[in-house]
Amino acid sequence: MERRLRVNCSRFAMLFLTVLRHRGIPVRKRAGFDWDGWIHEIPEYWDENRRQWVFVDPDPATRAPIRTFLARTRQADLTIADTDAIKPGEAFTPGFLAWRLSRAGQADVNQFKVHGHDGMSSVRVALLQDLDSMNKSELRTFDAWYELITAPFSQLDDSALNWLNDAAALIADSDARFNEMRTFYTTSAYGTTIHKRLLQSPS
Amino acid sequence: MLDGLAVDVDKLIDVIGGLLLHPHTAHDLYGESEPPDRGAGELAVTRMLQRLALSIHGR
Repeated sequence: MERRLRVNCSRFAMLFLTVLRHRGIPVRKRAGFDWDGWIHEIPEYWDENRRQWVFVDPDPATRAPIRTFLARTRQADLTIADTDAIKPGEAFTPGFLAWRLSRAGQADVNQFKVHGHDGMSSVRVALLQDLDSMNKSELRTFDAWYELITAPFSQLDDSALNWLNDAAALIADSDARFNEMRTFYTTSAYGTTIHKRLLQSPS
Repeated sequence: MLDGLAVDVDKLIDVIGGLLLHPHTAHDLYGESEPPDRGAGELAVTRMLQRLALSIHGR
């Protein structure tokens, strides 16, 4: 009898995070899109030998495309930071990259999918969840606790869009601008709302 | 409990794959057409994480 728990990618990632953190290995969750364009969450851990962040898909059933991608491109040291090497539709496209490419007209926004959203609205979800994770707010895939993520995308004003642009830029350069990214998040209405909500969560 | 798990990433993924199954994979393997109730799945994993946490902090 098959007794494995049926859970989505978010929980695969959380188990992986739990074990590595217990072992003292820096690790964080990332949100983005898989090779089929569906929202996807995977861990990114710090490889001390290579001195860089490395992403990995902890679901044995879904990590094959990433492995194939790495082998095909012969970039064994590929990381999420290597934005020039990652093309949407291959392996994993982090939320911040999907946002930047879509806003620049360099990616077909309709390829990115999140249940209940379409087009740029889907990309917005992945960007914000990527930002959450980079700031230690590790939500479940379908958590949405603020109007920035729930409002119709067409209703976002220039201020909101600029804030999202800034978020994507900070994530893209997070190694060099880590403290700036953390301040950006923790002093924002979005970040403080998410943090308060996490503290209220029963589990 | 966690101390018994491998640090090697590939081995750890094998362990995780023995505990969890994505609904899409269940569909491919067993023809399960509908994912189980999301809330139930989340609660089950939360309990498992709590057990893992207890094994860490209870020592």
